Amino acid sequence: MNLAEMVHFSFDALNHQKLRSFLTVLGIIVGISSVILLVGLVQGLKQDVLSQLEDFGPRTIIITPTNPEKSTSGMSMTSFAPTSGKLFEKDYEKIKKIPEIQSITKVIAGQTTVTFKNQSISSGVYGVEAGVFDDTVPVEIDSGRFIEANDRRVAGLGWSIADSFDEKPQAQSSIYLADQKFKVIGVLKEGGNSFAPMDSIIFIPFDDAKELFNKSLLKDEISAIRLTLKEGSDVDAVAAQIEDILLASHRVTEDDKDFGVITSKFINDQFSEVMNLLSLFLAAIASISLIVGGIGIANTMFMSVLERRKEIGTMKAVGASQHEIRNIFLVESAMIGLVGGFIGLVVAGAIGFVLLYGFGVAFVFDPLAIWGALAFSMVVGLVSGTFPAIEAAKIDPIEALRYE
Amino acid sequence: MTAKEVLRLEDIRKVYHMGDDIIVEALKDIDLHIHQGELVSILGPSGSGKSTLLHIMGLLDSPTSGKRYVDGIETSTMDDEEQARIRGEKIGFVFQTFNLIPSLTALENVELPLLLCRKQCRDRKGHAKALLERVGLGDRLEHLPSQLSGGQRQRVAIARALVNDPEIVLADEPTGNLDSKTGHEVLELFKELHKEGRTIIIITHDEYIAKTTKRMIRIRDGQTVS
Repeated sequence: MNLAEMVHFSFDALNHQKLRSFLTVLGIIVGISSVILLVGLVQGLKQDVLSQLEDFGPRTIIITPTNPEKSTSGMSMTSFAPTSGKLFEKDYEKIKKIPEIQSITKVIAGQTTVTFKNQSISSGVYGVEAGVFDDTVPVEIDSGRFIEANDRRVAGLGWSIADSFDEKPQAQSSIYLADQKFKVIGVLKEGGNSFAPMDSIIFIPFDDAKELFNKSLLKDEISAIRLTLKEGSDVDAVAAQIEDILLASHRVTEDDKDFGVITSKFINDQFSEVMNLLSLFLAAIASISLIVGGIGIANTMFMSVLERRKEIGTMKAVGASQHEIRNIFLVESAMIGLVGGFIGLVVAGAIGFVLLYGFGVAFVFDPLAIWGALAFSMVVGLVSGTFPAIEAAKIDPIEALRYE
Repeated sequence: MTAKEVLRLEDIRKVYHMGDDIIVEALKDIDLHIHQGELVSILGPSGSGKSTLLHIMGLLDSPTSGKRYVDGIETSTMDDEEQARIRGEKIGFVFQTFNLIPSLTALENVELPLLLCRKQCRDRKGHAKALLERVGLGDRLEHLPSQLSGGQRQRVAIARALVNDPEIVLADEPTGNLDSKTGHEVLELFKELHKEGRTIIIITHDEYIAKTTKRMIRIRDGQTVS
């Protein structure tokens, strides 16, 4: 019997016990499709964040008063929330002297109440330097304009901030930040990402922010420094240089560093680490269902061997050797695995398609996963079928033929 | 000119050890010569050792001592692989309970020995089909065993036993599960095949069936009696 004949033979046998075969195959379908789905979702998430990283810009460096290497989530590094450490104008002045810098801006960030026409919401507020901030971060205007030099008491609204009022504020509208009156000069386009959450921020001139948050900030304290390097600069070298400057300025050692110097490479490294861990973790969980599916195959095959004792005896009588009986049963269990893997692949593909196009969930269908899933499902089938197949080969034809 | 000897048993003994001290001697000093083209019945009551004899003749079991020649080849000490090969090439089995593979069609069941045979067998389907037509089932090729009557199933089994062109056809109570009319038809089929030159050995406990064959061997308590 060659392989094609054995496959055909197995197919007939599986087809003969449709319900049982289907239920066994179902176990593998669930296992394979959950592995592919989870891996696809993690990959999608990764791709999503990586594309945001591109927005971050390869030559951008953000200096924050938090040390992201000590933060547990690895993602909070993107927030400007005040923490134990502090940054001051003098830090800014020192860093500004680095010759590779193309543009640099200091930012004051805070949270305050925004009131427009008797409706109040809470919003993040950035105090930015006109003409410099928009050099380091792409700012796109939907209507009106962005903050310009010598502007005072004006505000540019992020898209979703403007949108969260019943009546949308427009250029020339008056809004109140805490109890201070500001004139809206423009609304930004929808955009931004987790590294520059432009949509949910109100931008005001740096000096106004200093006044607005003077109670919560120390003298000359700032929330972050954002800078872009000249083309062709060595980002890592500059980051190291900044680190040295701040360590000296803050009189701290590497171990109790109270600030963070974030580059796209740094984020990439941190992020990849988290993603790989997540991938591994989810794949491990999904693999449990595959193991259960494999146990299902073993169970079905043992039952099948028991049920088909007489058939096995007959096959031996008409010339099948122990090897052939073993191989026939191995092919049969491999087929269960393979068919399960194939259907699982289709199911995962369909769900992924719906997630991607129906719900906009990032999902990556890795071509490698197709071959991986098929090979893996077949291996699960083979491994699960090994003991039943050996059992089948050992059956004594005389006993089996007598068996009613 | 005498016909070729297709099966020879010399001083065959088969002993079963049931536990420590109990020894059952199923076959004692069996000497048997079967020539090509013979139709032989082996008659014995249950427990006489006729099943054990069938298993030894069919290479499903090995004798404890003695020599067994199939088509001139000494086979008593062969391993599983070699015995399977000889079974596949030189022996055809017909069983009381037909023993067709339920998931295969009549045609596929007949083809099965050719699938397992190590020789390159050309036109398996054509050969299997011709045999099914020979036993009168040319219109039942694609039927599953469950869709056939008992008599039809036994005909499929007979076609299967013939498909590898065996030296010997061993039939174990081939009419035991059939009503007397179909049983008679199956016996007639065996006689026709015998006339076509096949060597057939029918094992039975039925005196009537045994008497329809030219040569009858009686077995009792593991020994042949004449």
